[in-house]
Amino acid sequence: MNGIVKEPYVYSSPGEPHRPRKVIRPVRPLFGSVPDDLSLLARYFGLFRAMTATRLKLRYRQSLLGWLWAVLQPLALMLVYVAVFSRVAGYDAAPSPYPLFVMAGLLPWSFCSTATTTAAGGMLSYQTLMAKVYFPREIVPLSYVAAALFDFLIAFVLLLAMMLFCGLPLSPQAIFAAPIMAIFTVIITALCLLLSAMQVRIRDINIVLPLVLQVLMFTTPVVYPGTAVPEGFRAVYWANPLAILIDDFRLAVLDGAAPNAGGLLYCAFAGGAFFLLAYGAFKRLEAKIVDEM
Amino acid sequence: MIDVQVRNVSKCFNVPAHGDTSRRLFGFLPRRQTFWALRDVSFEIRRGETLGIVGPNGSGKTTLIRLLSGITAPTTGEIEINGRLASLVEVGAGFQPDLTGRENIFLNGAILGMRYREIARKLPAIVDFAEINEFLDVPVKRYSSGMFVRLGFAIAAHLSADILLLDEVLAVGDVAFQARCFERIEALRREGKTVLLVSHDLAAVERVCSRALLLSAGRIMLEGDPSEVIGAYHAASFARSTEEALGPVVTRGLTFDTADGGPVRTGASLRCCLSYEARETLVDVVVRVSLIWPSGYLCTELSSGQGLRLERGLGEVEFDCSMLTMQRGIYSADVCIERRGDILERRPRCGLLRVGAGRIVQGDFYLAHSTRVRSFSLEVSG
Repeated sequence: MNGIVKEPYVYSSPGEPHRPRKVIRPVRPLFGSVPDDLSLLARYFGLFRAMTATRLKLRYRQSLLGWLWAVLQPLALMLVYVAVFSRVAGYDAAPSPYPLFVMAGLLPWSFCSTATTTAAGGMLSYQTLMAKVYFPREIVPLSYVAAALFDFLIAFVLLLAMMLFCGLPLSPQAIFAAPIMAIFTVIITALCLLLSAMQVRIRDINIVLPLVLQVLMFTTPVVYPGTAVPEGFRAVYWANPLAILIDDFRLAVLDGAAPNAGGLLYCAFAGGAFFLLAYGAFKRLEAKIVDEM
Repeated sequence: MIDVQVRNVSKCFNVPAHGDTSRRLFGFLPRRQTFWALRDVSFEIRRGETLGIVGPNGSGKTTLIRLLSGITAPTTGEIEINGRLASLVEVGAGFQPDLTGRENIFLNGAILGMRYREIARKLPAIVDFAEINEFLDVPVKRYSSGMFVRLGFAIAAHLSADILLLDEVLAVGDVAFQARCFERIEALRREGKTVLLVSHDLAAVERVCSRALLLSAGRIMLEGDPSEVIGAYHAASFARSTEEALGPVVTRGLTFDTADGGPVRTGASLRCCLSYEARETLVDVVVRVSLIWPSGYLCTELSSGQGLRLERGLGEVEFDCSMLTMQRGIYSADVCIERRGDILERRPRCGLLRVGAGRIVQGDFYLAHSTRVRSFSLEVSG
């Protein structure tokens, strides 16, 4: 007996299944290969699902309030804004009662702020895992966006309940909220991808972001109606797709007004282009993420 | 057929220089130094081969694994991979303590690259392999460390990939676990999978790998037969440590051989020669050569006992053992010279004892024994 035989088991079999071939080069070509990226992402869909589920389970399992938290946050903010703006500033947004008005605006905004703040910090919390295993890195910010979207849906149910309580009818036009939110999600995803890629290098983003978001909230019609924007600023103000989308969302859900097609198309194109840019930038920086940590 | 081909790969890191914090505050970008983790590395891995990579810490092994996995990109050069590659760097990577065993199986499996349906299909096999049937729906934070490791390994063992990278995974867990790891690697080799093993466990590399690579300071020093490469690695590390010599006595070399001239093997005699250089005559010295299992546990030691006298200058301490009872394998040797409790010279991992197969028995060591038969014949009264 002479010990273990260690020759490599080399055999060529013509009927062998096709093996994927991958070449790793120093620099990713500029226009990457978006179809390849997307098919890789599709392969890792199970991971996206598991990560989002983990995020939600952890949040809701650990806390006492659990599911209520998705609802309490916008509710609390709404009460604050109602107190400040309707009493102090004297806004009156007939025909809908002001609290409902603010709530409808707060929902998409909360989604935006939760998604961006958690995604920016999320990359850092996964850094040890990313240094050990390869998976498409965009799954991390995407899972945060998905979790924030889930919170949005819960809060949306609350909004509908409030509308019912106030006796406000829900018109069939409200279905437009779906495409509006779809475009909104694309823009938010793009923002999250950009922020999480930058966050790795510039750690300050995590700290500055909540403050910046607070300020930016006032550049969108969350607490005031779109008509309140002064004449001179209108061109600049309405160039912001988020402003258009939030206004349209509120109008669709509360007032049952169908959104302006032109405005929606503009948001769709701007959002799509922004997304492609952000995704491309993220993939280009992807290889350096672990180096920077 | 080539599964992995690494062509002239170099990797450099920009590391911010230390002690430049005051510069940062004044708005200047901190100075960054370049650190070359890998320099012009080229090799290939053939289909079905098991390649071992050895080298000291900091030689670039982890960087190489990261490059092959796609975690980071090379600074220059190219890597071509034919087939699905899975890398196992840590057992149980990504485990969330608050989730149950079942949820963690799906999470960890997904992280390793398995699809949901695949995990669902293999779930019973994984649970059986890990032997955690009763604890499947219990949060993982309540698992013992042994269960944790078993579960992580069970998931990894059911990966279906063409090429497998293993980075020091064998170092974790107890002896039984390591035995299972080996079984698994052997099974993979029989199936014709390609395996790349990075390990400090030289006995494992010699046992399992068909070819080995020695990495040092980012370059490939030697490539070829595992025993050769391991021998060279040890020679190099011993030579390196001899340069930092201080103290009244210095170890110059450590060799093992047999009195009759054959290979060192179980059941044969053993002679260990420790050559030293003493700056002054030392009395009342104890010289110890400790022999250590690959896992890091102490197996046994050769001790001179109290009252040894080392004359000034060059000399040799010889240990004679009439019968080597240690089993076949590779053991590291530590040297320690002390006098009345003060350590004069200590050299960890400075030698290699390679024990061949002599008397073959099962178990941890060989007991010297002889056999005799006595028969009590039965009288059949006719």
